[in-house]
Amino acid sequence: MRFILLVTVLLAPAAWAFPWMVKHNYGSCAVCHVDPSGSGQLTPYGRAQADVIVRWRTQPRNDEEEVPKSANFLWFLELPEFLNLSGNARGGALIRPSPTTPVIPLIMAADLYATVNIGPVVGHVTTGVGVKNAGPAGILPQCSGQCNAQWTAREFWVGAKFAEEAVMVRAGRINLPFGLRNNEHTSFVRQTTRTDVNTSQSVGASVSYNSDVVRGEVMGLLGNFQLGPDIYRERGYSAFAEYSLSHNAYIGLSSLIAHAGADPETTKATTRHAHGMFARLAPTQKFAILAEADFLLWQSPQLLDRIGFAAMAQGDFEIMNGLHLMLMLEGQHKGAGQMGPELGAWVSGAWYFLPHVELRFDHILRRRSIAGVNPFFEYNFVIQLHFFL
Amino acid sequence: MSIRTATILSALFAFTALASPDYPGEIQTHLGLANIPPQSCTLCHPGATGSGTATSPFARALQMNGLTSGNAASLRAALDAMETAGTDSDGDGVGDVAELRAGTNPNVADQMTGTGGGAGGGGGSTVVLPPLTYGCGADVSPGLFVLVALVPLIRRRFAR
Repeated sequence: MRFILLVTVLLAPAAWAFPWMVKHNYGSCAVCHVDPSGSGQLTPYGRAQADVIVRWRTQPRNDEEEVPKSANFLWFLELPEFLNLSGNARGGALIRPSPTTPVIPLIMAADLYATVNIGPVVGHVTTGVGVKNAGPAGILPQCSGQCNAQWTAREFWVGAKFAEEAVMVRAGRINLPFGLRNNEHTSFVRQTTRTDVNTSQSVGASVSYNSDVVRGEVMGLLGNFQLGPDIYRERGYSAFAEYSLSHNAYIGLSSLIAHAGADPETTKATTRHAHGMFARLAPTQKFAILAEADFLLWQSPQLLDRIGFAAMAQGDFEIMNGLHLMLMLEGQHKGAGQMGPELGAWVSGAWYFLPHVELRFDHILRRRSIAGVNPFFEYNFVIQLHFFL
Repeated sequence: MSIRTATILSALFAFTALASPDYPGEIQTHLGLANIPPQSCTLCHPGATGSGTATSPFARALQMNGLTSGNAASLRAALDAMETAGTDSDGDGVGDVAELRAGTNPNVADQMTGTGGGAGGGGGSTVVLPPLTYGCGADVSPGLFVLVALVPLIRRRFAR
């Protein structure tokens, strides 16, 4: 009943828990996500929104419509208020015009989430199975990248909410607060800044703030303790702040400085900087623009300093309720002697055709530019089915 | 499809391999190294800590020598071909395979392998890094200590 009231009072057009929620007047992420800066497990309110608003429908939603039972855990199970359980299963295939392996089955995520709320205290843990690239999130000992499957733990943290839940203090293994928390975790902005929500979490402590006008988070990084030895771990800070210019226009700043005795990529002692801006705009209720641009700097006493950039802009057009078409352009340069920047274009579609079920495809064409190698093009087609338990 | 079209398409659609988790170990075995290369997955996958597409110069050199994903035989053949040709992806004058044998990074134009930690360690001695490993066995996580330390604080708050 409480959910019904919330949903009917806070009327908003269709959306899921993504940055493009801005077009539906959801500037803050904390109301729908356990993580106050967005992504991952939904709150009970977020689950209700996903089922009532995000799902594909051919008829306009009735404002008095009740939240269906399918909004519950496993589509039917109503949980006690203090306990929030859910899961995330994402699988599909990578298809590319290759003579040897044109179709590669993928299991992108198979995670379970649990959150316990006791008064102002929140405990959150995720665990699951990762395949191949889950290495930095793996918890089995000494995998050394040689495991086909890994037991993973991407997030585990405890936190406490203050000031009528506007402030949250957390400690544990947390997603890095930086830039847009977009779904495309392999995009240049997420990979090059190492701030994707797939495998780039770090142990640390953070303070976040959420209001109608401003939201942000500052996190002190102690390193990823699921890789070792210690010399490879990055320590420093990561932060973002976003300001609401209006109900449909948000602009933010991000900053990250982290040092590792040996960068996993170059094996050199490196202090890595990423500082940038991002924006979310919604000119209409059917269209959202997401953009991010980051300045990058790598400082190493053994090598010349490098400067670079990573940037993206995405347009999300909601053809009809629950059916999205997205175009993303991106670019980056790592300042490492490449022959020009790397460029990419994504044409994607997402169809939320059943409660908590999404079918998505991505065409990704990229011009790769790597030091010592002539630029070349690569194309990938990814199709995936996503269940949110 | 004309030959010209096919040629253009094949040039455009030059693909990189997906991660092949056994490759670091295969490199160690094939070259007789004491440890897997310290860069582990990032030797070929320069994305966030060893994820993403294999786009490092060394990975591209392997692919140009016939490497395909999930095919250890193609890796061994590519390494042999590169050793014979003296392929030097980072242009530092030392071949890729020689760098792997020496414990240095074939992607970085510098024979140094690390400072042993911290900034300001430039120039001079070469320090061979221990290999990058994944999993909690890599070290004890202080995050656990943080979580344990928070328990009495939380209990104290509720006791008030």
